[in-house]
Amino acid sequence: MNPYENLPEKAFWKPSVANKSIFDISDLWDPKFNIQPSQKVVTFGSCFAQHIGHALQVRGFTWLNTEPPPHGLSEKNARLLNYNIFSSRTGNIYTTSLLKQWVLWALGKNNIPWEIWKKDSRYFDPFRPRIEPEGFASEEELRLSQKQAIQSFRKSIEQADYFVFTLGLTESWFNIAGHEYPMCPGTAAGDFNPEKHKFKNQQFQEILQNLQDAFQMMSEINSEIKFILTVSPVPLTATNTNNHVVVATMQSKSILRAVAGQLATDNPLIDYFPSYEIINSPAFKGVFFDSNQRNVSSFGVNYVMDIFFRSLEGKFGTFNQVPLPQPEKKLFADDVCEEEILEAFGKK
Amino acid sequence: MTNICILGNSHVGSLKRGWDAIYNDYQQIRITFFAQRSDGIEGLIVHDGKLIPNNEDLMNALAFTSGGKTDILPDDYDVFIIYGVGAHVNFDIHSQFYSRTVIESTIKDLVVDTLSFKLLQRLRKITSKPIYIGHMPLLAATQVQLEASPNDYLARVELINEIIYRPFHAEMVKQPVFTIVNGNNTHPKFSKDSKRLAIGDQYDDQHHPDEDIDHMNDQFGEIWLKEYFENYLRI
Repeated sequence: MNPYENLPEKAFWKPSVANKSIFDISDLWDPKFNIQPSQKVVTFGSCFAQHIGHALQVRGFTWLNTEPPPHGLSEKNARLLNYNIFSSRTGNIYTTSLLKQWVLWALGKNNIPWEIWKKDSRYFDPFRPRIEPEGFASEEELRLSQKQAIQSFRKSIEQADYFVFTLGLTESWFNIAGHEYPMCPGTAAGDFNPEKHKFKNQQFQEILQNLQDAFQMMSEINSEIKFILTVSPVPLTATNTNNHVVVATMQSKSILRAVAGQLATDNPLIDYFPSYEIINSPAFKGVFFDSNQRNVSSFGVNYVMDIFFRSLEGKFGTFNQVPLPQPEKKLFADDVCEEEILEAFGKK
Repeated sequence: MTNICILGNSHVGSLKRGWDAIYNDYQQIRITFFAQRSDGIEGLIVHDGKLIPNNEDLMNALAFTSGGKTDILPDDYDVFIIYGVGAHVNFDIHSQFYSRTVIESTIKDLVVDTLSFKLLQRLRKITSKPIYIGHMPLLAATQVQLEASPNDYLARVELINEIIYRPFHAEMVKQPVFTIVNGNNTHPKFSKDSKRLAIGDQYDDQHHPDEDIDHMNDQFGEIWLKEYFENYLRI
């Protein structure tokens, strides 16, 4: 007699993976929370987070959008102007330190820095450099937009039953004054100044601590909030380490995965959904990537999200009044992913 | 004499009947109406410097509403009004902060696919004369609240003129302010007993259903025209 003898099939590679078609691999997620269609879910983080929000809406769940576009703005232009991507108009929040920075602003514990980037006659937000692709008309307009995004982000925290966060990067760029940028200055906008702008490849303990701090502060204004973590399966577009981008990607994702695992294991109010594994595990043979082996195909996104909902149903039963899944209409290639702009700086 | 051409859809019915009630008071104005129900007037196309119907139903409706004309010749008129046909000011830009880019994109998205805007573009191809846009009446209120300023509505009209219509040397006409209640609705008395556009068939002048809050009555049309004459033509 030993502990392995009574383990379920999913604990063993051969019956649960090797002997199965990849599309029959099951029991990948044992959800902690019985998410109901009426409960409010907000989504933030790296590029992949937007799929969760979209999938929730398609299936009749309540994806909370605290900064919606004006009535009448076309879907295409709303997307271009970064509405309906995340639950408020924060743009990509790639790192846990950026998340903490947003939470500190939202809770009024820190003020958003006064730094603004100007190009020609347009003004760019260092903390959302692509939020208005052509920039803002004035500094005042930019400030008002920042204020709106911060207020809306706070509302997301206050009103959410579930806060879904997708961890994206460990590599980050800071100003020596202490604030962090989502993108290296000089890429999406702004000018790079080596005296002021410093690179940091964050490590496990710091990432873990920042995420814990962010969640702790959110719980202070919403004691009922629960968290669901995912790790973006999308490889780095570029790395500023000396490593090959493949090596840098594996290091970065491994750390983020470990942080997510640690928190989900330790805390009953935090769950981890394994979208990263479904896309990236060798068990799935890379079939969910597009031909550039970076972008996740719409088929892959659908597959991941189907598992999300099937797992919930499998554990908690069928949802009431949820429409049948509809085909995903957006391709991942259309996703709003500021980091991809780095590709333009690589050698052709 | 000022010759006005009004083209549009079912909403033109209230203007036509309103005009019938007041035309004796405006000897210096002549109005010709070209209208078809629903979006039937989409079949008006540019041909040889004029707008002509591309189907028989529309031709018959135009002939009926205009008193015999089927083509719109720009030389016959001094001023054009495109009334109804999808033009509206139903956008919200004050519930939260929106940048100028977002507002402009929203307004363009709301306007460019409307039949009203298509007719404006077609008309501009054949004439440089003044063109006014009459939006569909604000929906009639089901209940009238005590005090609510129409300032937000007026600001939206101004914005849509600035962003869309002025570049076309056109202008959207404000709905008479005293017909507006709740800030953004038409007083329900103006939707009472509204009637269908007459185009020469068995449905002519039938009452819209009681629950119709889209269409306005003859009294509204009369008020709308009077205010238009005064505020836009200075008559």
